[in-house]
Amino acid sequence: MDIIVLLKRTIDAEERVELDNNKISMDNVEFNINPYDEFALEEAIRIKEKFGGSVTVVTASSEGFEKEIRTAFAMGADDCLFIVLNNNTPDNDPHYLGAILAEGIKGKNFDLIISGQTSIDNNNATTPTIVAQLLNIPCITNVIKIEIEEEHKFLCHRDVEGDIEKLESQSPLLITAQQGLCEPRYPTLSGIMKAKKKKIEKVLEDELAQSGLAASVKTTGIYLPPSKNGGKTVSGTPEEQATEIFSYIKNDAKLM
Amino acid sequence: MKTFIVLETRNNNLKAVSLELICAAKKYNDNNICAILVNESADNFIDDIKKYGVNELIIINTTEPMVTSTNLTEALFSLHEKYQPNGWIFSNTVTFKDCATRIAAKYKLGCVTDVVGITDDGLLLKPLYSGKAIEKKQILTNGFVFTVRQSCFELVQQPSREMQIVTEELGLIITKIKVKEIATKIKEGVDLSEAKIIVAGGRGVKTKEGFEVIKQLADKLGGAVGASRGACDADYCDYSLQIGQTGKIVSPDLYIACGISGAIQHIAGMSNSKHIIAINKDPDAPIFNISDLCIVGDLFEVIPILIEELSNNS
Repeated sequence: MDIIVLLKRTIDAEERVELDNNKISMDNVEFNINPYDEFALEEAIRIKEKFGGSVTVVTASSEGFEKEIRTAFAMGADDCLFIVLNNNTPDNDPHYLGAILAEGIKGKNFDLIISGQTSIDNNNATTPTIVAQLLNIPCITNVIKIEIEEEHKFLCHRDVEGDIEKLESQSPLLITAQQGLCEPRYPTLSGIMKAKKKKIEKVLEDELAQSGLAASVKTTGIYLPPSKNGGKTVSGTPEEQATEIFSYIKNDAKLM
Repeated sequence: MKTFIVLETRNNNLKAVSLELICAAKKYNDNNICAILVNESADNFIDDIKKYGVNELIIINTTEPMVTSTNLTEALFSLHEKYQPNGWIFSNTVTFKDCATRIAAKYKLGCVTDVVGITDDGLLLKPLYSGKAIEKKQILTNGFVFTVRQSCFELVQQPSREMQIVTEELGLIITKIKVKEIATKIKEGVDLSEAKIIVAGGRGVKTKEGFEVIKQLADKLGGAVGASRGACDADYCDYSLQIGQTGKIVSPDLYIACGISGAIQHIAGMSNSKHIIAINKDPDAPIFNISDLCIVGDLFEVIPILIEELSNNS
């Protein structure tokens, strides 16, 4: 089974966010594979290990994304299509990015596409669905379990805010991974050694941008919300603390 | 120019977010607002939606139940093609985010999810990095689609006006996805997404029995019960109560975090709450960084006394 994994890198979840020239500063921050995409990658590798085939990572980013791709190789991905974005790419525009990714994927054979259900930076949860729609294939989002009884037939357990939907579909299909789908593995030493030799196929964004493709949304500004450093700390006895909460609910929140 | 909004109901009654969608539509532009209701009667709330300024109500009846976003989206596609609305507004739930995105992709409309506010000049406010930054977005395409986070829009009534009611019968909907089973959890008490007050427990509640104290406090306050991922993973409560990046995003008037350390994934789901009280033994717990009232103490000592005080007061 040939599987494509849509991968994105994100700033580490614990990083402080700072602004620089009306953009989020990318200086001196730690990058990782988006955690939800890591679930997708792990699941793809497990399916390949069971049924054979290949795992191809498809990613769109500005240059300098090699570390995370090498990690994906070390975990077990076979190939990578790296779509190199230029400086004029619209900021946080899932439509635009989805169109570029879909064009890149059109040149590949695949039975299944897996991606994270969202990315922890922009938290749009939209790009994979747009890719599926543009490729005209069905899409099942927020999947926490995939059962494959016969090849090319997928029974997906979907987490809909606590309710579970079991949906079945056949290849080609796009699935988005929710937390709980699987636990990503750590790369082995031999995996890391092999990863160094694997080739990254690069293609420029301009080669994939179809004529007429334009930005659909625009970021006109960005700001940091005021911090809540004025929080009142209460130690004291449990009685005093309970009274403090009672008074807060009544007098500050005015909910009594 | 029409804006379509999709009403959400529970037991034949309107959920509060439906009215928020109407008010968000009013705030965004001055289009005619057309509310969509799927396979339900509007008898219980027809006057309510009139009061908030809905111009038209379209009730869709389908031959099969609309149980997942897959077939619901197909139904909305056919509505889009017939009426050619200028835009769509949905609530930011798993199901409606799916519908929103697929409509946006199919009809090439700019799409913004998880909107928490709209500026006076029509820009959409959207949190990034779990709420550490807020982006102002402008939709550039002729039509638009966006989803709004619950409890972020103020309800403003409008002068009463005539509302047209149309019924649409839709035939069989064919999709490439087969529904095998839907396991809907029976939800007790106050609905988490609608609640004005949420009391949430984390790993600090230690046991399933420990979680009972969270429920008791929520009951006393007339609020809903929530939980962190940690509490769900430890099986203290069901995953349907989970608040965070994985789980529900909530913005109640009051959020009481009990024994929750405040991992960034949890904070992503609740930092927009108006008032936050945290109870935690660890004075360095990150939850305190976003709290208005920080109680450094043992929840099992503090909460029972608080419940007693609340009882004496009522």
